[in-house]
This record gives sequence, C-alpha cells and structure tokens, in this order.
Amino acid sequence: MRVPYSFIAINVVGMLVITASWLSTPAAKQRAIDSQAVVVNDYDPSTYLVQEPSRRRAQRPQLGNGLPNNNQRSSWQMLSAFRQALGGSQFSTVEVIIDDQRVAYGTVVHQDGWIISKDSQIPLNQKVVCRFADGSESNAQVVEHNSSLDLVLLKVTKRNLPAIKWANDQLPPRGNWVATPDTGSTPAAVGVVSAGLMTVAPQKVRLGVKLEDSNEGALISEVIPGTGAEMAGLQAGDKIVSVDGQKLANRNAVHDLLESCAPGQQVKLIVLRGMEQFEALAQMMDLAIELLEATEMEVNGLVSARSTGFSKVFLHDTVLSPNQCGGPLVNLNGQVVGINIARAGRVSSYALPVSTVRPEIERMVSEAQANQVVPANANMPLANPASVIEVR
Amino acid sequence: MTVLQEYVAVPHIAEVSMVLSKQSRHCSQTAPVLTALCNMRGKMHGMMHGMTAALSLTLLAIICSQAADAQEIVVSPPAPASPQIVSPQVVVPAGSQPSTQSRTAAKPVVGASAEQKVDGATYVALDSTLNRIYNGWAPQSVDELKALESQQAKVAAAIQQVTVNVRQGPAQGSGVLISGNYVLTAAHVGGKPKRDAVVVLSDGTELKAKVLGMNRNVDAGLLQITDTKGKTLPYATLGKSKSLKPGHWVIGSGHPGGWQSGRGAVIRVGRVLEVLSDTLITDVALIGGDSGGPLFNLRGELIGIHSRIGTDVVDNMHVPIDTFAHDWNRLFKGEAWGVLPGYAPSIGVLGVEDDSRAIIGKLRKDGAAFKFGIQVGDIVRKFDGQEIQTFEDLQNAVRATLPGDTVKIEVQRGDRVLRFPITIGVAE
Repeated sequence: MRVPYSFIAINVVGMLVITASWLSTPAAKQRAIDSQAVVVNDYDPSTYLVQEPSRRRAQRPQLGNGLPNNNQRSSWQMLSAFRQALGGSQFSTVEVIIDDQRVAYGTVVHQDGWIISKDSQIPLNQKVVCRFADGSESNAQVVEHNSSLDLVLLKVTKRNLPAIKWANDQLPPRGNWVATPDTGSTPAAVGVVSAGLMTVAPQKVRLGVKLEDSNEGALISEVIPGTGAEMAGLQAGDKIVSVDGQKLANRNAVHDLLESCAPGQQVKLIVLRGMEQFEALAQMMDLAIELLEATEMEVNGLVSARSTGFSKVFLHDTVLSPNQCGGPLVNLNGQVVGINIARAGRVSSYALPVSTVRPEIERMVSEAQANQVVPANANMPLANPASVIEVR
Repeated sequence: MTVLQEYVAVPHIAEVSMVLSKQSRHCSQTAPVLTALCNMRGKMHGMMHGMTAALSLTLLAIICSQAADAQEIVVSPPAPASPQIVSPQVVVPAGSQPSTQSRTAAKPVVGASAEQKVDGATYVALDSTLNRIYNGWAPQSVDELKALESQQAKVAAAIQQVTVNVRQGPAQGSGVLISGNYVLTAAHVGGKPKRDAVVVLSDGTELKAKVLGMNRNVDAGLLQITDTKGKTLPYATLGKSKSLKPGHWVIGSGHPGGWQSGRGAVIRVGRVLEVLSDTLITDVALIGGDSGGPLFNLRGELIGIHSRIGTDVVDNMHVPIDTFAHDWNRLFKGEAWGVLPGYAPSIGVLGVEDDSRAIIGKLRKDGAAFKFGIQVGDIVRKFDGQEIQTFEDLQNAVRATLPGDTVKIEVQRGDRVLRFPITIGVAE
C-alpha cells in the first residue's frame, strides 16, 4: 500500500495547459519551424489540452522506489502467466550490446544470422555485439540502415538461429495483449493494443535546451528534464561554445548546427560554466512537441531519442525503456505482431505493424544476401564489406 | 494582440498594462503571468515560451486568507463525504428536468448488475471462466490470459462508441456519454457552469453542449448535449465503484491530444491499485487530454472518470462513479462547489487583522497578486465581475475560480482605481 504519499502527492502542479502539436495550426507549426527565438519550443498554441496535474517534483518518491505491488498489471504473477504465451519468441530476441551496455533489443529475422534492431539506438562506428538467450555473444556487423523505419540490419556469423514467427498481417484489435520478450523466460513488459494505425509526423531534432545569445556562444536559459541535455548534466546558465569540435560564436550558429543532427546522434559540446570549461557528450532527440514541457517530460519517463517520423505505426500501452525497443512484439501465441520501434510517451509505445515491416525486412535481407554472393571471377571473395565475417 | 486590460489611471501603470496584456485568447493562460514576471525582473528574453503552466503555477501559489501574519491558511470547504451508500437508482427529479428533454429512457441508473435488464451500450456479459479474474486475480495461464483478452477486446470495442472529446473554451479533455444525452467529465475539463461546450463523438461529429454542475472536491463535472443533430446517441452502462477492490481489472479510454481522425478513442488496460473514498488509483496510465475520459470494469460498466496523475506511471487517479450518483441533483442543477484536490486557487494575498474590508495586508512574493502588480494597501473592489465588499467576498470569489484562469481585478490604490487581469495561481 502506498497510501500516505499518494494522496498528498496529488498536490499538483498542473492542470496544465499543454499545447499539442497535432492541434496546432499549420501556421503555428510553420512558426515553430521558422523560429529562431528558442531551440526548444516556440510555437503558438492554438488550443490547449487539459492535462492531469502531476505530482510536485519534491513530493514524489525517487523512480523505482515504489514498493512492488502484486495488484499491478505488470505484477510478477502476470509476467509469469505470459511465459507460456511467448512461444519461444525469447529465443528469437537478442540484446544489442555496445560497451557492455544493452542499447536495444534485436529481432532474429532469418536463421542465417540476420537481425533487425532500432537504428537510432546504435551509434555509428562502434563495435556491436549481440547477446542471445543462451548467453552466448557474437560480434555483429551493421549491414544496412533503413532511416524511414528507423531499422538497422545486423549480421552475425552464427547460423541456425531461431527466426521469429510472424503473425498474419492483420492489425491486432484494440484491447488485445501484447508482450515484449526479453532473452529470459519472462517477458520484459506487457501491454495492450491501444489504437490502430497512425502516422507520426517527424519533429525537429533537439538537444532539450532553450538558448539565448551571449557574448560567448549560446547561453542556456532552461534545460528540459529527460532530454539529452539534462542527461549530459547541462544546467541553465551554461554556455555552449563549441559543437563537435566546431567553435561557434552565437546562439544561431549553435542552434543551426544542433538542428542538423540526426536523432540519437551524440554531440560533443564544449561548455562554459562560470570560469570553468568542460566537455559534455549529449544525445539529440526528436521529441514530439507536446513533450517539450518540463512537466510532460517529468511524467513520461525516458522516451526514445527517435520517437517521431513514422508513416505507419500502431500504439500500445506497454511501458518500455528506450533500450527495450528494436525487438519483437508478440501476441498470446508468441507470434510477432510488430517490431517495437519507440517509447513515445507516458502511455505510448509504437510498433511497426507486420504489414509494413515484414516486406521491408524481407527485402533488406534478400538484398543483403544477394550482395553476399561471391562474384565468380573475384579475386577477393569477400570484397563486399557487408560480407566480411568477423571471427571471434 | 488583444489588450484585455483596461484601466483608469496613471500612465506609469500603462507599462505594466502592456506587459500583462494577453497575446491572444489561444495563448496558454499562464503565459501572461510569466511574461509579467519576467519583465518585472528584467530578464525576459525568450523565457516564457517554453515555461509550462505547471512551472508557472509552482511559482504562483499562495492563497487568499485573512490571517494577519504570513501563515498560510488554505481556504477549502469541508472534506468530501466519505464513501456513500449509493441508492440503487439515482433519478433526476422530474420537476427539475429541462422541459425540452424527453426523459423516458434517460434515467441514469447506477448499479446495474447482470441480473437486471442492463441499460446501456457498453455492457459485455462475463464468461463464467472469468469469475476469478473479475474478482481481481491475475491470470495464471495462457488460457486465462486469452479469456481475459477476449473480454477486454469486446469491452474496448464497445466503449469507443461512448467515449467523447470535450472542448470548453480553449481547453479540451475527454468525457463519456450516459443516458439522457448527459456527458460525465472531470470538473477541470468542464470549466464553469452554464458555459457552452462542444462534444465530439467517436465518428468526429461535433455536438453543442452546456456545462451543468461540478464537484471540484472530487473533480466531477457534468455536461448536457443540447443538440444531438437528430442522432440517437449510444450511452455507457453505469456500474458501481464502491465494490471495487485493489486488483480489479479496469479498461480506460480517452482522446489524448484531442479527437484524431482515424485513430478514435485510445484504449488502455490496468488494475485498481487503491480505492479511496473520493479517488480510485489505477495503473491505467493517463496523459494530456484523457482527463474526463471513462474507466470501465471488465463487464463494460462505467466505474470512474479520469482525473489526474502523479509522475510515476502507476499513479493515475480517477473520480469514482458513485460520487456522481451521490451528487447528481446538485450537479444537474448546475451547482459548482469545492476545490480540486491539491489544487486550491490562490492569488497570494493576506488581509489586515481586525479589518473586514478587502484590503491587501501582505503579498506573497511568489503569489499571483504580486506578479500582476497588486500592492499592499490596495483595496479590492471587483474580482471576476463580482463586487467585493469584504475580504471574505474576495476569498469566495477566488475560490470560485480555477488555477490558471485569468480574471479581471479592480482595486483602489490611493485615489486611483486600477483594473487589470490576474491569472490565478495554486495554493501550496
């Protein structure tokens, strides 16, 4: 029971007045795009949503501090009941590891070592390792990026991997259970289908700060919680003087360079705090406009660095971490109904539906396989970088 | 740019006046507060744009109280009644019904059970294999999960039809159709009684509605659709919230972000975590625009209305449906009372001891009154259109607002009378 705090806790900051991107007029959106005033959100709300007030920050317990509650939807008993429902899909799930950290799940889409994951979770030019359900690890090679679906095709040398079983390409009805398998016996998380197909318009890439001009570089006037800026430890009052080694004189220069980055990209910032100068590595995110409010971010938990710009996804209410995307989403028969592609908000995770993602994955794999075919007259059989086999 | 404020006075105030002016009615209501604040402190640039109402409201705070010292006295009505035994049938008194409204099939009947003839479009009979789960247990096998899934998918399909989007002024949230063309929603979505509102059905049809009453103590609001455009509207089957227990399965819906073509109502499933006298807490996660949306049990009976959230995803508060039944007559008559839980309106002023006039004795530096230029010694003459004689009048007038509302205040300062807008803050 969590009684004591929760009622006090309702004490509220908000009843907010939140502006919603999808409600903004085209003019407002244009203004948001043209804006030079602030990096984050200078949009003109045409209306506001009434938002449930969130608990005041000081009064809330630390994340993960809550006592386990057997009555929660994702209680241990529930997750246990889902074990049988996974139908072996956990063996078709891999952990994508970089620097000993899981950055995403991956989906085994072909037994010959072809694995799909979430592209923007995987930094460029890094050694990628896939860890399988049996605990074994294999170096993976990045074969193809698909930026429209935010997918990456990986290749491992392991053979005879258990590939996922696709469900049919009908969209699962609202209210149906979906599970996100882990490589273990119990799913990572469960949820239900919340809504049918939707299009998520792409948003600008943001660091998560509001910038002002200053005598040196750009002065940070506000840092939005939960964004790359906050995670990199930036504070209001800091000045950004350089981005990725490029010294920048004013706010607009910093703004423009940051905006040209890709979601998920890490940028190296030189920051001036008082007399002190330090380097910070921060991740760029393409946050939906309605998340660009401190309170919104506070109530959302971590969202994916790339959570917008999808032409067809369906919505489910599973609470995923950004590093739990990229893997399969299965129904109660262990069949894959989608690939988890983003945690987009407090109650919104997106999955690419079978009808969209399956043909595209099959195309990527067959093209990659074709490229692997050793040319008959080639002196170097493994000329194509995609076919280089790394030996552990 | 509409300057809301007029005033009758000296030029140097004019500067403040411009600062306080509202950019447009679309602007989020607290933006002017921030503008004013920032200007006053001389560090305006770009600051207001991203500041949320929440932030500004944290800045605001303090209440209207006549205490002589700075001690805060939260003005709030008596605590809401503890859980009420709900009479099986709560019927709108015939005499008070609008004459134009035929009410033959339109009694909100609370407490329908499987044995009775079930009224409403959302009831889904429970498969006998589900009894254990209905009573709050977790499924233990795939078969039980599948039985639960089949039930919740049926309920999900049914409740989409009765889940509506509610727009009142520039605010919007969700609501649910009940019999008699009434719409239950959250008090903070409805705004104020007698105002016009728009109800958007699941197919996108917009219907005119009127705000009736609200019990802000529990965040319950009632609307009535005034023109159905000749449609016969589906409505929710009403349930009871008093029998809910932690573990019970519940299904929520809403139009987060407003009604969206092609998407329809969004469905979530969770369980009851706590049952308090005036609040249900579940892990059916809510987000902006869900406020006022319905919460159903596994039989598709309406048991709650979405209200507010904490930062943890499992902190989601709903208004128990029984409170609507309990308050029905007052809501129906258009009464508005109470203070939203943890959300009392405040302007941050204190009166003067032994002086019943509405004289400002003290100002909180983080209060709305201070930010909007009210000074110690000002005598409040009007507030939100009401004549103010005593400090108590002022307290009552503030209490009738919602935090975030922008209202006009008229004060006497020396021999001048000043009139300007003020955006209400929230009491700490």
